[in-house]
Amino acid sequence: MMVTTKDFHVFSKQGQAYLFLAEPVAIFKIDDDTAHVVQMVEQGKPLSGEFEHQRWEEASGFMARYCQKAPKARNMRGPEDISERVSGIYLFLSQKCNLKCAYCYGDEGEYGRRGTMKEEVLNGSFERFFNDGLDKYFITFFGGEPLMNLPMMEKAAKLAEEYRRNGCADISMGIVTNGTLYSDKIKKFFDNHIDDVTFSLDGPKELNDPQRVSKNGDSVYDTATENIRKLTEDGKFNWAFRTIVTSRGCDKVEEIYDHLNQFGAGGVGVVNVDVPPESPLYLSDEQYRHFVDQIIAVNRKGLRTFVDGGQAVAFEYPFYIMFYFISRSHALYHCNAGTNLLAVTAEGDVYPCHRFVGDEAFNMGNVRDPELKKSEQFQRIRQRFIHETVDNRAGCKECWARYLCGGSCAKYSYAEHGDTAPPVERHCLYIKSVVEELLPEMVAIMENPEEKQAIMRRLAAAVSNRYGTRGIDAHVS
Amino acid sequence: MEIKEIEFESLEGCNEAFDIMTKCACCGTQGGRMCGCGPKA
Repeated sequence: MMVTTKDFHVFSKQGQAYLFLAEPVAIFKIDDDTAHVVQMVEQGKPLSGEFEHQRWEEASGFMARYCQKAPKARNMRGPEDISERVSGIYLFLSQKCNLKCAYCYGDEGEYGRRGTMKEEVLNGSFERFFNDGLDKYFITFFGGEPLMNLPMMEKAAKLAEEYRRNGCADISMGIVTNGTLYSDKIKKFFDNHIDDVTFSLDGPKELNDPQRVSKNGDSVYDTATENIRKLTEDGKFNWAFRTIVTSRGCDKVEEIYDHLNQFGAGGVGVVNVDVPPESPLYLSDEQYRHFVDQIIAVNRKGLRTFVDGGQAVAFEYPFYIMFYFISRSHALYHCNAGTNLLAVTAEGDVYPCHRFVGDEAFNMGNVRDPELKKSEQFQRIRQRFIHETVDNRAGCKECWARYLCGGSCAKYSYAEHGDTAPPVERHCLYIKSVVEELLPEMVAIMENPEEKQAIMRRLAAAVSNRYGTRGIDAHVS
Repeated sequence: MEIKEIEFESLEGCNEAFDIMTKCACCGTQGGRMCGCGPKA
């Protein structure tokens, strides 16, 4: 085989050159002269002189031989693994909210159609999606604020139990909530039925409250943090924070992580705000680059904490990148939108994910329709998402980082390009920066036998702990 | 030419768990069933 520029990438960090091979998911340390020549080819620059041509022949020969003999990488959730079955649904129990967040993309949670989910829609959702055998399924209660429709959540729990008892489905339930509603009934429901909770909170009070605003004038931070402490004190479910960083807090990423970590969350997910450039909350290009630098810094710190045996504040990127290398896997999709995951609105309309709700071009049909999954509309939209792997996305399929990335968010691509496939420049910058900055740190760990053993043990524990697969026999050789 | 591969050894049995944990990922980190749910060790 001949290697082409989509097969490899050369980069240097702290005086050391690295060669990454995309297809076999492999990383090498290389000498500077070779790195220079390979980088010239990667950048489309002409080689000159005998040395450069000879070195390229040697390097490209090595890469070709390695790619040929390396074990074939596995697809992580490739099109071949996607069946008629949908694994998870976002249920929009309440398309209304008690907050009016400054950056809300959902029209204060109403998505243009204020309302609450009725039993008919809930039943329809179960009938359409949870009848493909006793396998694991996921429901995420979403909104608006889903706790504004607790009765329907309780009905969903009863239905889930019924489906489990009848051998129809094993359904795990999660919720995304703003944490401002609390009652003994809610606590009991969480403790007895919920497996995963994501609380939306944007960091310290002075950052959170001006952008996450209650309709009754109360401090969202004060109310939510008090409730979160009460809800989580018994440790009955996994929980994490979801945090939006705006121009107001874009230079305080580490402070936000550290602040939220005090509450004992299992994770803190930080993303930049999705608002139009004219919004005062929008991150300028310079602010965005600084935001990415800080994300890298906290993940670097998290990786070190993890290796040293502590609870990492931020560790998501080292974790996933390592797993792609460890399991020689390719990420073919950004996420599960439209493939394993769908969203159902309060009125029963189905969309590829929560972010597409309200965009009629992506309305896949309604759960009240018994033939929903067979309809042309449903199949056309679902097949479109299944087809859009990184190998089929123009602008992604030639990129060296494609299998560590999976492409950008389809909704962001659609918003920016009017098409779900093209890459979003900021996402590319994010992923490539994270990989180039953090991969060398992981290389250093893998070269240190003690640290390697420590991190492999902790990784195995992290996966088995969190997802209840304690039977896993993880070997570290 | 000097070139040295960095070996990431496999964690036997973890692929399946990793598949489960990413099965309902809704964000680009591929992580967990919801954004922000990182590993808990």
